Amino acid sequence: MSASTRRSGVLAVKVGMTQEWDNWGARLPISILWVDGCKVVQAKTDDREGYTALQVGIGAKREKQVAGTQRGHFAKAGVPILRKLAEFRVTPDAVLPPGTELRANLFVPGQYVDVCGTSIGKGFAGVMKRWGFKGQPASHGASLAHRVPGSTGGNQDPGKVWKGKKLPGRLGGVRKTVQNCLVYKVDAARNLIYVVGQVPGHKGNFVRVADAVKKAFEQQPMRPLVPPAVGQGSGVATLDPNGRDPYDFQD
Amino acid sequence: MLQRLRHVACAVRPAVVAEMLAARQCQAAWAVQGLRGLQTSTPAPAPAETSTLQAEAQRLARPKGRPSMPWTPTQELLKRKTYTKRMGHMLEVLERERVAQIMKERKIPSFGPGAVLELKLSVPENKRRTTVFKGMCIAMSNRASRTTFTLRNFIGPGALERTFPLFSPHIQDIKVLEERPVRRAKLYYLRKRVPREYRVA
Repeated sequence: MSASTRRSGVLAVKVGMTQEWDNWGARLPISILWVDGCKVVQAKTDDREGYTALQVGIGAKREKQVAGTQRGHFAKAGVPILRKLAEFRVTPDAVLPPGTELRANLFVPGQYVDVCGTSIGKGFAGVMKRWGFKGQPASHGASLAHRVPGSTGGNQDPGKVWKGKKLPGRLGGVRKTVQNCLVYKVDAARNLIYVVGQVPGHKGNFVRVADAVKKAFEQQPMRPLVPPAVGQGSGVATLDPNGRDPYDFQD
Repeated sequence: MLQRLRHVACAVRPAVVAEMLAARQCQAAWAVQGLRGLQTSTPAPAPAETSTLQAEAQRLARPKGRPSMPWTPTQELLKRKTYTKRMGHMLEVLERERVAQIMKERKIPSFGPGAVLELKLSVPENKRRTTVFKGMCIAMSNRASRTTFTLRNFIGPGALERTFPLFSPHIQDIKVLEERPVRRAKLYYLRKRVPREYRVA
């Protein structure tokens, strides 16, 4: 694995949130992600498709739930029928053959990942929730306006409301990425990834987990290019490898 | 029942009666054998505690009717519930396991509201020096690894209430001094009472 390599990510299912105390005694909010049988379905190459990517899938579906074309697509790769498919752009040296299983041990405790998922839908949200507007006073004579947007622009100049004006509308239910989540723990036997912080979506939703794009090769620990053997790679991260105590307040 | 049949069968031909009796007896015999079969079947092996490869292989090799571990890949399940249900169950199992692990590493006594405790705490902000905090437990919130309890005491100028996570690594020792009788899960009424009722010396 070199500095220019871009590995594939995995698809996972959000299990929920819990907490852990790290080796310094600080409390960490943890999101648990479960890699439910992630398999490579197709390898896209530069000469055929014009770009290099790996199509991976997770979950399961019954035969009667898919059309013949999809059944053939999975049969060609030699994988069972999968529920969710996604592509991960990779560099040519990180291409894996169809049928390869990607497990949680692809990620190393102590590395950073980007987790991408569909955020929880909030419906038609008002301007205070959607854009963080401050609203109007609750009393002191404010008439019929407590949570409304207020003014939407100037007068005759410009004589219109600018496009993209922040107004109420649908909030949530869209694809969101949380970047630079620290992988706290990896349970290789059970295919679980414990990640510090929040992850978009409800429990039971699919998420994409990939190496952080905003972390340089030197800032991340050594990660495997070829998926390691089943059962290997479990571990817990010890935070702050320099040994700096987070409770050591310097005056 | 066999007696009644014999009585009725007196009027019918003996060969037919014999056949019917034999059939009934066979049925009875099968029923008894079935019961015996249930009694003598060996119970299924208990699920392994560790998450090693061998344990996983054992779990997967179980006969199909048995419930499987929540992290069994969906591709290996015959009957599937929705992801939301399965993840809720998995989270419960993982949290319970974590609590069991912590309880094995540390000795934490069991107590509830009404218990008077003495805690030895390490204060990380003060170079991890050990302090003592005494108080009466007025509330206990049971949430697996996030379980917290609130202690109340009357010290010096005023009352002092402090909430601690039960499994926090900063709590070095919990000693239960006494158990005061209470009839509530949350003793917030003590906030309106005289300090004598909840003060710990």
